[in-house]
Amino acid sequence: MTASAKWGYKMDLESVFNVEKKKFVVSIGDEGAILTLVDGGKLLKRAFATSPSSKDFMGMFSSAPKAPIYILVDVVDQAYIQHTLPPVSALNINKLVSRKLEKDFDENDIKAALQIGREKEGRKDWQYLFVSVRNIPPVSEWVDAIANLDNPFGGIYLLPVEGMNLIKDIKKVLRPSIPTQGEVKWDILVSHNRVGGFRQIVFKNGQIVFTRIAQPIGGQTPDVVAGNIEQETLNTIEYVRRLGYVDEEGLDVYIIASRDVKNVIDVNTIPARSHYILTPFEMAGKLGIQGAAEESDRFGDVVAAVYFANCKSHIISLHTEYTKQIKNLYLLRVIARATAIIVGVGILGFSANSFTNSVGLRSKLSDANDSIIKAEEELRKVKLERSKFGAEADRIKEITDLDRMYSKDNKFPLDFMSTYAGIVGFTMFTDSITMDIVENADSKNGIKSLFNVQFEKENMRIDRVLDDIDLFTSDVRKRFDGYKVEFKGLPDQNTLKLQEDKADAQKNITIQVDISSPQDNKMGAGIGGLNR
Amino acid sequence: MKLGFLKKKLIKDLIFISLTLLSLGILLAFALNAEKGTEQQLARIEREKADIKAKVIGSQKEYDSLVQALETYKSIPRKRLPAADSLDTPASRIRASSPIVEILKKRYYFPSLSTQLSAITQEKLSNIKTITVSSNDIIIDFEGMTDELVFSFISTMIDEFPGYLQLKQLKMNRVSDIAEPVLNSITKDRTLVPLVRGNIVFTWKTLQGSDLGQNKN
Repeated sequence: MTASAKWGYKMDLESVFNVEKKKFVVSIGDEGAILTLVDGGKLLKRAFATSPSSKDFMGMFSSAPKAPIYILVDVVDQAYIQHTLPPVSALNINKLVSRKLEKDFDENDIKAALQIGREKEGRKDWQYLFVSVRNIPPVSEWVDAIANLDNPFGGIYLLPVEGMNLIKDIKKVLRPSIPTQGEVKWDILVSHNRVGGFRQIVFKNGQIVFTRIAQPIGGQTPDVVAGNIEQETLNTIEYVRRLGYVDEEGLDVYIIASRDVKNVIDVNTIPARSHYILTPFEMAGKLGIQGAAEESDRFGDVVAAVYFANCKSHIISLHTEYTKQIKNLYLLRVIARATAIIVGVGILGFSANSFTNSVGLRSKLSDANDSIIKAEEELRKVKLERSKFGAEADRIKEITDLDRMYSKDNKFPLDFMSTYAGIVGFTMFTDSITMDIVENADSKNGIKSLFNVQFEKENMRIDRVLDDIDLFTSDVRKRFDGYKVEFKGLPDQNTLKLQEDKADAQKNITIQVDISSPQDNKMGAGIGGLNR
Repeated sequence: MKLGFLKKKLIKDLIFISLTLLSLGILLAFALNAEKGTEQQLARIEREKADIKAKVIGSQKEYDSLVQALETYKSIPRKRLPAADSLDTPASRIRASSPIVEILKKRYYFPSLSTQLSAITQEKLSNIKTITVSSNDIIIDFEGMTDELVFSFISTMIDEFPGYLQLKQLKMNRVSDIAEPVLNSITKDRTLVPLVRGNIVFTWKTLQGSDLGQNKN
């Protein structure tokens, strides 16, 4: 069975969409497995079985069939290898890690890689921790049995890796005010577990460095167990020294053991700056999960499982090929449902918007209908008023139209003549008048007139006559501004002098004045509004 | 074993989701269709409303125009309105015009004045359906005392004649100066000596139609 994992994938999508608050956590060790059923941080059930063939144990999962099952592995066969990988791009690092995982571990191992940092100086190499679990009994038996249950499968997690969350929270509550300068770089968490034995996890700056597990030797009495813990811790510290630990860097030791053991542990034998020994009950209290353990509890498995169940996010999940397929199917369902919800909400949104628009339009429609009724009523009233005129209406209108048309201009020739009569000359008199009323192109009345005007020159000085003619012509032009005015027979001084010298000189000078309305009617209104 | 179970569940989910989305799609289509239908209905109603408003405005204008026409009609002198004596024959026109011309001839001291009436024509005007207009020319040859008297005569003719009189042409010549013999003739012999001579052409139009003038208040 091929195993793989998504590195850096800290949260299962299932958990995002899973509304079920209950969770099963199965802690698997070489000695058996502990089931814990947790509901919102509260421990509901716990049970122990040595193998998955226990029907009572396996039957407990059906009590909460929708609760996902998480496997927390605490077996001996785990490998933790730190790797420094070349500084490839962030996009390519996953491929590189994948190839290296396949190369370094067995095909059937359950394996994953955890990025624990990147160098800030120099080549900026990647720092990875490769983890693997042998997919052999008892792990393979438990995984197969649990994965085939109806409950959703939450994934496989390693207790030492998830311990990074645990140590962070433990330090928060036990060493809340450590000054930065005095920050302890190294921590050792020792937990006496039922399924595994003495689980020891070493952290440097909060990152897991390595882990080991030891079985109790020489019996289960408190003195023996305490002695085992002291010895194993000493062994671990010695190993840590080989990894580069020096006393100046600082080391804290956290031990979870029963009260009897706690009372007899001699911390002076362990060379560390601080020692914290807590019972499972005390640890649960410190972590705020009071119901996770009882005063009499001797092992740390259940507290760790409840803490794990209570964590909002986990460090890394691992999968076998089979559980990966299960996970992918769950993921597909989640994606399908999420897509359906998004599309459905979108469609509902559009529909609601459309419905709201329709309601608004219907309101407008109603207003428009009311307006139409009012307009129709108004029209009816106007038509009623109009109908009071009866058959005479058309005739009245026609008579008034004709009256307007025939009365309009019938006095304007007289006004025209009156304007002309205002022209006075000392030596002039008008001999004849011809006036025609004509219809212009735009059906308006116009006028064409011809005046024969005589200027007496007998016994008159020539320049006086000429002055009189000049005065007359300018007066005509001024009074009939806008009309077409033409003068014929206008004399000049030489002509007059020539006539004077002749014997048959005429007594009068005759001038013809032609005054007519402008053809295009674009000119001014003329005098007295004659040009209409 | 579990994979098969999960696959079945996934298929069931997909079927359910598809049906749900299909139903929602139908709901959306229905909603959009209803919205579009309402929009179209509203547009139709708005057009109808605008049409009726236009009719109201048109009718109101027509009504206002009629009211105004009625006011104008009341101010039109009765002699210009269609009457029972509709002056649509030469005889009736001669009977109506002669007394007026005779009176004005004396009033404006015309030594000589003769009148001729041309044939009557019926004018057809567009937009005029109920009224007929009879028209002819009045040609007046005259010898007058002064041009001012002639113009006064023309003005009075226009005012006094039944129907509508419009000046069409005027020709006038001075025939003599106001010299001493002329003044003597006027003052001593009390004879009218013409100083101007000419002719006037009027167009005379009268209206024929129902006797609305009878109903005028």
